[in-house]
Amino acid sequence: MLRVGIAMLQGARHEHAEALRGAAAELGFDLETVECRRADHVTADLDAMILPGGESTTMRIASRYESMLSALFDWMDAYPHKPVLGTCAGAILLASPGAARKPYVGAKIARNAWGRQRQSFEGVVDVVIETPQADYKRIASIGPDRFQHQPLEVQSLGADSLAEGFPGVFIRAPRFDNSSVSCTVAARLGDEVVGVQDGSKLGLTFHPELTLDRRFHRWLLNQAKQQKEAV
Amino acid sequence: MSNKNIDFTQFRKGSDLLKQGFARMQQGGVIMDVVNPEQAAVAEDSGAVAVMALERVPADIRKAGGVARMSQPDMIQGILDCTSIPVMAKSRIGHDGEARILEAMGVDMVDESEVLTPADPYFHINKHEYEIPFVCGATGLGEAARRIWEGAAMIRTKGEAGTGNVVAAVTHARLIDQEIKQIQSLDDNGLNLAAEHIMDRYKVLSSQSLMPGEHFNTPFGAIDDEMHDGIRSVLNDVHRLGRLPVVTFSAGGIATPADASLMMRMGMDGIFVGSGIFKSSDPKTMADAIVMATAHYDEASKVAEAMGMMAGIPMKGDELETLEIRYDQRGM
Repeated sequence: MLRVGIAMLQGARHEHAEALRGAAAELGFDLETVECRRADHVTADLDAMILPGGESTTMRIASRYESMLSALFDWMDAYPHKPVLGTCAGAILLASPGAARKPYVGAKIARNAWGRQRQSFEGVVDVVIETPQADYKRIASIGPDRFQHQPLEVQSLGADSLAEGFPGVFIRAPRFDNSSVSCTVAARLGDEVVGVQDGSKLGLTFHPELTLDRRFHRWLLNQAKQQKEAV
Repeated sequence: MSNKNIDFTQFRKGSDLLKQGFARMQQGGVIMDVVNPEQAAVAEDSGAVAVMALERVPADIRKAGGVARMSQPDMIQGILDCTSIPVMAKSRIGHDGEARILEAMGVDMVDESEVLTPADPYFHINKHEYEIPFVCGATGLGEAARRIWEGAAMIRTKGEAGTGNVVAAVTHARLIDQEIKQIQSLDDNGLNLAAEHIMDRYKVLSSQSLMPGEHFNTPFGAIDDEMHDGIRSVLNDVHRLGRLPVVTFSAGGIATPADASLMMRMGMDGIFVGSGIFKSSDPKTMADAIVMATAHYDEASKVAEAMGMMAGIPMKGDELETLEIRYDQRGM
């Protein structure tokens, strides 16, 4: 059984829970997702973590009452081999955690570097790193969670391009400074670096949780499993 | 940054996925009405997920009376220039002219809002024709379904803006929830009847005419089988999901952190606060407190702490019976 935490700071969180459940079904793994809303939810028995997309400014500020962010970073420092997936705002947190912490991925990142919502776009991304192959599996939507929130389901849009490239959904996305990348390039859009992997940390400037292609979520679960078995 | 320029012509823009995806990134957050760059800075510093740029907050629109229009572009531009979080702005209901200006200026989302004086008494804007997403108000499921079918990427309960009274926001959230459950009780035939019922509103223009002859047209096309299928597909999503198929915020009359937590507890995805912040006696603290209460709505001790932060007093608030104009009746 893998236990994967989702930082419930703000933004597209249930979407990641759905993507994880789908990825676990595709790989045949047992999975429990843990909604981390408070610092004391970020526990030693979590095998992996997701930092979702949303507004990174909001995440930094809104977490100050609970020191959620420092709890997450402390957890990453304590368990450097446990995998973490950060998407969009989550990638910003990995690349510039702030508060005198060292970056978790070796790349500089700029917020909203493509422009405002009008400049948001979908494009086909080349996935450079190896991700575990599996056939797409349809899963039933999650029911309302314990806070009465019925999550939105992940859209079927993007499923048409399941074949080769990855359907990259860039929403007011941040942008890596290509020349600053000192770790593994995980994903590209043309010449542009849109995903980086630094050891156990994967930062993507787009939103895999909004599509049905779950290969990055499978990567996270597979890394978590290998890591758990190695210990 | 050393990156090369990218050829954007090869990418898809303005798709439903991008519009609805944008709304999803707002979940769990607070969107604040602001009237100048200073207020926008207060909102951003407090952790708002977006700001709504407008000339007057709804409480002042009520006081001023007269026709309320889209804000002046230079005022909106001033806020766009200094704000790094998303900036939304309001157009009048059915006012394509205003909405196109907002799109051209690059606002992140248009609020087709009943708080402004409606421009078109019959129809809303065809939101599919825009590259940027729209949020629209709703008091019930029928309205919400029409707006979603028209292309709204996000729904907010109308509430009664500018009153500081949460009762209308609760009324609309309750009714939408009730009607979602009713929809879930229907079979195929019942869903078709519900779709017909929802489509009836689009016949309002032809029903005004005294002329003979038949012509059922709308900005969204003919009132025909295709429209029926479109509305029906929204209802199918509601039936399957047990919720609206787009992000749903609460708005209109939220004045305290406790109000925000109440609406989140009722299953809303986030909160719009209009007059509640900058009509309170200590906006900075009120903004902080409402963000905190929204993020931790399920923990009463945190909400209590948020209430305790408020040194000042919330806006005064009105009984709905005393209002001269009910905004929530506009644009069904």
